[in-house]
Amino acid sequence: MKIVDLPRPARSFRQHAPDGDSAGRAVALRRFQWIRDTWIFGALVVTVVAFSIASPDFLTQDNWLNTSSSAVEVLLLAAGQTFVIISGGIDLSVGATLGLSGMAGGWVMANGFAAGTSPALVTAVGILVALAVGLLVGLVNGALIARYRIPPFVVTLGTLGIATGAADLVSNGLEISNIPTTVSQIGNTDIGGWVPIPVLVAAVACVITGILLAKTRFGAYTYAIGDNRQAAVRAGIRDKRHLIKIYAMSGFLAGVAGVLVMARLSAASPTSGSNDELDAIAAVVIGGTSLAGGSGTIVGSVIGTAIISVLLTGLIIVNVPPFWQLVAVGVVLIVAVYADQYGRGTRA
Amino acid sequence: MPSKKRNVSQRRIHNAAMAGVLVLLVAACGSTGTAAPESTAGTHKNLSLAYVPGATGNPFYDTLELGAKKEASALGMSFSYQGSPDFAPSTQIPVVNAVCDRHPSALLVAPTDPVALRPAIAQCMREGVAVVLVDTSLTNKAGIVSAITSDNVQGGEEAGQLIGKDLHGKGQVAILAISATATTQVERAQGLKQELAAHYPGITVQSTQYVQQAESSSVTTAAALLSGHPNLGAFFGIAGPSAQGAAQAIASAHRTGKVVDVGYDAEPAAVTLLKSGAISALVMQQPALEGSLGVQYAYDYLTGQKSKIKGSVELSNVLATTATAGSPSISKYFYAP
Repeated sequence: MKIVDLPRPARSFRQHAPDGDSAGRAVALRRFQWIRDTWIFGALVVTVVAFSIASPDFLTQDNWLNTSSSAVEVLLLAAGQTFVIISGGIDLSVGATLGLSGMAGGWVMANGFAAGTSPALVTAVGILVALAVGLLVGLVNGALIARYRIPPFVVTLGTLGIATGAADLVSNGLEISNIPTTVSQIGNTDIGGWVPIPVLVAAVACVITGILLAKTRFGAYTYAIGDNRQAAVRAGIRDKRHLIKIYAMSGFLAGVAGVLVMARLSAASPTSGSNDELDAIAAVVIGGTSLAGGSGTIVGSVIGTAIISVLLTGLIIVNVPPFWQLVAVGVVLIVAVYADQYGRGTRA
Repeated sequence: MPSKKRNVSQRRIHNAAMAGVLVLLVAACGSTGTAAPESTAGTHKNLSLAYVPGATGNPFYDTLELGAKKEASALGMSFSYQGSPDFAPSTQIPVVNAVCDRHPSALLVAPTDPVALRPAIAQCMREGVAVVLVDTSLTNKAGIVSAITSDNVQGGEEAGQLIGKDLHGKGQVAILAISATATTQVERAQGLKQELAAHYPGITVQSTQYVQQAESSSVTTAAALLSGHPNLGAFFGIAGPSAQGAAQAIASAHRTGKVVDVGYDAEPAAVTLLKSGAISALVMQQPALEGSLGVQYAYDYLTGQKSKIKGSVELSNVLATTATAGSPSISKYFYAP
């Protein structure tokens, strides 16, 4: 059964949508989205301008390359996390999945390389293995959440532990560094001197997921399930199947991030990605996605990631003492979420 | 709407899957992964030793374990190993408590915090376990059999000497650390600052940045420091893979060979970078020796030969540079993979 466009209310959108009208509320929320996105983008611009004034070394090519490269892993995780949070769930395992997929791919590459297979083939197979591992973890998450109805927080916390342990088991806790140099070339080549390949990959992934969320049925189903799951099920949306796809995509994107981090470091490390899930969730929330589900955009998550990455490198360049850096990031998170709540009005 | 009741074949698949999961769980619990099986050969006095490192999956602590295990089996003690993957007191304290509840004869432990671990370790000693500290230490050492560490201040001084010479007495150095409280890291930074103040006053410490265990954090931080501070001529990575991350950042800025990068601990990945020149020097500790000394002193204590025990041992470090990395007298100190 096809989902049809929700009827537009006759009133102007400036009025608060009536509380009992779920359909009207959904439309109003989506229209408020662009206000929120603009506000967050303004916050990013203010941050960049403030740092540029504070230090002449901030608006440089070097810093752009560093900031964008370090944003890649959180960006990919945030893109997947956006779908998950909009659907009303959460995925705590993505950081550990990043590490595990990197280790799996690295193990394949190191052993293939040592066995004398051509570097290009070994690299390709290793990347595929890494992506497959990420996808597998996502599928396990999705299946447990959708079919067995265990809460997402609990399931992904469990897979976080399993993936972390598994990443250590691959190589007894050690890094794998004898991987072919083709991998590190991917990670460290800057196209035209300005766009590192990982940044390009992340940008393409964001465009694809952005279109997926905003313009396709897949995205509409995600919003519907997050806003009111019962209504979505009654409308004929196969929610279980959809949730499995969402978590699988989140795991797959973590796998992509795992490959790119391995490329940047020229080594696979079991600690890669640890605690990145918190940064990803923070980026998604700063970007305007509600933790209650039902609203959010990829654009917002991209801007949220950008704010966090700019803060990270900017505070170092401007010479803020290390412990104050953590305070600053925490304050920004709280202010952003408060402003988001304020922008929604008194609605719960 | 599809019926929620499962038919016979779906139930069979479901039951088979559950059985499979249970089998996997039992198998996983049965095999203790990297822990050494408790050996009972030759334990004529039934002496058992438990080892709790600062963090699992860390080449320094793994090499320490190898040295400890070897000495333990030579002395006929059984050996067990438990640890947490994070270098943090909040995860290490429960492990220490659980290990002590099993009443080993002795505990070899690397405390992740000099104050926070004291209550758990004191409780352990009250239960009759002999405790030897390795690597890091406690502020209050009452009742501890022995505290064995590397001379971390000397390690910092060695690094300072190399940096001072390579920078020709002028410039800035940035320190990359992980923990602000672990005694080892505090002392290494202290040693560097002492050496610079005494012999190379033209070099200042630009800042001390705290990075995470994940290497990409060091890459980002080091790259940001390089962007923001053109006078920065050297990095001292005093823990974890921070020196490796800095090496990557230096390479991305195309300044390999122009920025000095000194690391701590000779794990295989770091040694590879040392040999290629991406890392200028590594301060190497002697973890295997720390482990075997720790076991030896625990044994001496348990067998009443307390006069043989030294209460506090500071082993010296060995500095390896790119130039000397090939010679056997240096490479024998590289940590085991």
